[in-house]
Amino acid sequence: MIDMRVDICGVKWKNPVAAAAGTFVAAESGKYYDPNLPGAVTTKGVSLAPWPGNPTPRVAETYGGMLNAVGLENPGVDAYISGELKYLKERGVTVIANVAGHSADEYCAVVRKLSETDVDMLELNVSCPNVAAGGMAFGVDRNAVGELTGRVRKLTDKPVIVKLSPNVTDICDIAAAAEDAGADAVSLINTLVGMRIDIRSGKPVLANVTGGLSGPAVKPVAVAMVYRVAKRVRIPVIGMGGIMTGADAMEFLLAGASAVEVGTAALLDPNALPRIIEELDVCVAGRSAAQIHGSKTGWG
Amino acid sequence: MTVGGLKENGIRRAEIIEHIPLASQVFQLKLHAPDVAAVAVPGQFVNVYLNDAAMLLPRPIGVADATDAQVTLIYAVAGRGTELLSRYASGTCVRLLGPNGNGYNLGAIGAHALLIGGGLGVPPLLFAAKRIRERGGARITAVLGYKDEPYCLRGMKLFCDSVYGISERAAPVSELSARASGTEAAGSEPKCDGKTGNVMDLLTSTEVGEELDAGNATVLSCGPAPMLRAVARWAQMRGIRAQVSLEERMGCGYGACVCCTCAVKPREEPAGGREASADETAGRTDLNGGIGGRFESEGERRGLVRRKVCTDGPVFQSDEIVWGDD
Ligand SMILES: Cc1cc2nc3c(=O)[nH]c(=O)nc-3n(C[C@H](O)[C@H](O)[C@H](O)COP(=O)(O)OP(=O)(O)OC[C@H]3O[C@@H](n4cnc5c(N)ncnc54)[C@H](O)[C@@H]3O)c2cc1C
Ligand SMILES: Cc1cc2nc3c(=O)[nH]c(=O)nc-3n(C[C@H](O)[C@H](O)[C@H](O)COP(=O)(O)O)c2cc1C
Ligand code: FES
Repeated sequence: MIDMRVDICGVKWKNPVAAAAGTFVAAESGKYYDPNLPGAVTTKGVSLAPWPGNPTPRVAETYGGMLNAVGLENPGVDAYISGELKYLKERGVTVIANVAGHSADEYCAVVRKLSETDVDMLELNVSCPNVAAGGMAFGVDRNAVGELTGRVRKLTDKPVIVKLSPNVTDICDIAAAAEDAGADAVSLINTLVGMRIDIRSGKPVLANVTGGLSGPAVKPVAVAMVYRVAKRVRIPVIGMGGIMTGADAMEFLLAGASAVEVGTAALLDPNALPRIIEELDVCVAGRSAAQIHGSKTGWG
Repeated sequence: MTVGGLKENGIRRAEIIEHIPLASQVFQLKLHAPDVAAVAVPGQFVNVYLNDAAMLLPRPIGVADATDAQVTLIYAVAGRGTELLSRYASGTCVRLLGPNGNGYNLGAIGAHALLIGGGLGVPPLLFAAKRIRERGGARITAVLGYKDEPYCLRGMKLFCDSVYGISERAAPVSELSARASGTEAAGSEPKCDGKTGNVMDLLTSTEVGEELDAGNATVLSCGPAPMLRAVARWAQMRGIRAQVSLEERMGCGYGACVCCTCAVKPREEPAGGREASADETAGRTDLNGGIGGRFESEGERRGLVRRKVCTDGPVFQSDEIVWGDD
């Protein structure tokens, strides 16, 4: 196995593949593989108080993907710190906490609490399409992203990743706003707003009506966005969206990503992360760093 | 066992050994799946993945039997995926993950096991009947409702002391008894007075009423949600403990996506029959309050607890569920 270590904003990952938010639960995913195997794991979006999430059905199948409208069901940051985070840190796992909120104050309150823990990185989820207030409402507005990132920046020494929504006119503008406000990295893409209607009932399949599209169907969109953002910003870009294989992950690295996250693939196969890491190992073998990060070194 | 951090319990390929129709649009699928067969208990389910990139999500199907190296699934064609599945011939391999979830707690059954099934809820109860019979010590009554043609009646008759069947539409008398007779059954002939109706009609009939040993009865139920709710209410009014198996749309079927949660009242212990391993229990306790775990503070005060149907269920105690209209 070749050395795949990467340094993301000063945090060492043993390989450039992380679990994506909302698709990893330590107690469950850990039944299939050691959570220490990926470069990092991103935990589910966590808010100040517990959120019950959306009514069910929360999931629908689509060609080459899925729609979800979980609505960030989570037990709140205190329970997260004493539960999931403690469990993972006791096992030496590199943890990215995905932070959610209904308001800027709420995001800040969560960040303040997390700053006092041994979590490794923070990922601001300003891109969840499935909550009424907060989430994507921030992520589609460059001023809001800039302000929130700036406020969070002042509150914490932890590396701050801003997770971007693809549901915007120009994702590069939002990425630049995050960078200018002090983000250490950006991650993209969160899910694309989508909808399915059951023609038998004539009603939407999801109780929330719309949901977020993920899985292989979104990959070309994600690669293009990563490519454009990586050319625009100087901070590291973490790419994701539809990665099912090591070759898919390689495409993101070639597009300019420093690392990737894997979401839906892990839902469809609990062992997807270890498999993708092995496959990526084969893909990068024999390539120089310059060849791996092709776009950054100027082929486009 | 762990190989390089990878545990050997992921998705595996399972060959179709037998695939036969049981009724219109209802099929019995026997799979060669020794690892699953060795540990599956009634009420658990498996994720079936189709060999089609346009249908990526798992199809959760309850285990209808597990013997030797074989797992039996009984399913209805309900949409595109099960329609495709129904066309797979013997020799084809499907991908399988499981067994998933917590099954029925057979250890909690008293002197009288009352199995109440509706439609595709019957097959998992067939497996339960078999295992209860193997354990011994309980009289078993099955009360089964169908939309059209019945299925699994012969098997039920083998394991149960009495079987009551009813159908909403089809000519039930001849069908229900014809399909059921002809075996040297341990139990009685299925009873059916020829009326059409649903499970609740049967359950509240005098025959079933006379058999009921309410003080020692335990209900195991599986079927559509409205039926389960009615069964839960029926059991509660009589002070009978009921274990019900819920159904929900699943994104992963193994606890990672939080798509499948249901509202429950806070409880002390899991209802499931599968004994949690030390490893799991450690994870659970540590993660109390983790994703999908118990809500604390605010949520707890509101009595709000959400649990995952795929890993905390699908079997729950009926009185811990917050039913839709509660
Ligand atoms: C724990 C559990 C056990 C089950 N056991 C059985 C069984 O033993 N026999 C049986 O016939 N059916 C069972 N079902 C229902 C079965 O999963 C669905 O009928 C099946 O997934 C339909 O797939 P489809 O592709 O034909 O339908 P589609 O409508 O094309 O499916 C689209 C998506 O919705 C999901 N879906 C559709 N209907 C249901 C449903 N009722 N419940 C959950 N997901 C659904 C599918 O899995 C798929 O992801 C069970 C469901 C659960 C949750
Ligand atoms: C069920 C589900 C839950 C998700 N929950 C979160 C979340 O809590 N926070 C977040 O930032 N992204 C969340 N996402 C988005 C993923 O992290 C990821 O950005 C997206 O799914 C695209 O990657 P993929 O195609 O590999 O899944 C979720 C996605 C899914 C499918
Ligand atoms: S289906 Fe994913 S958590 Fe239950």
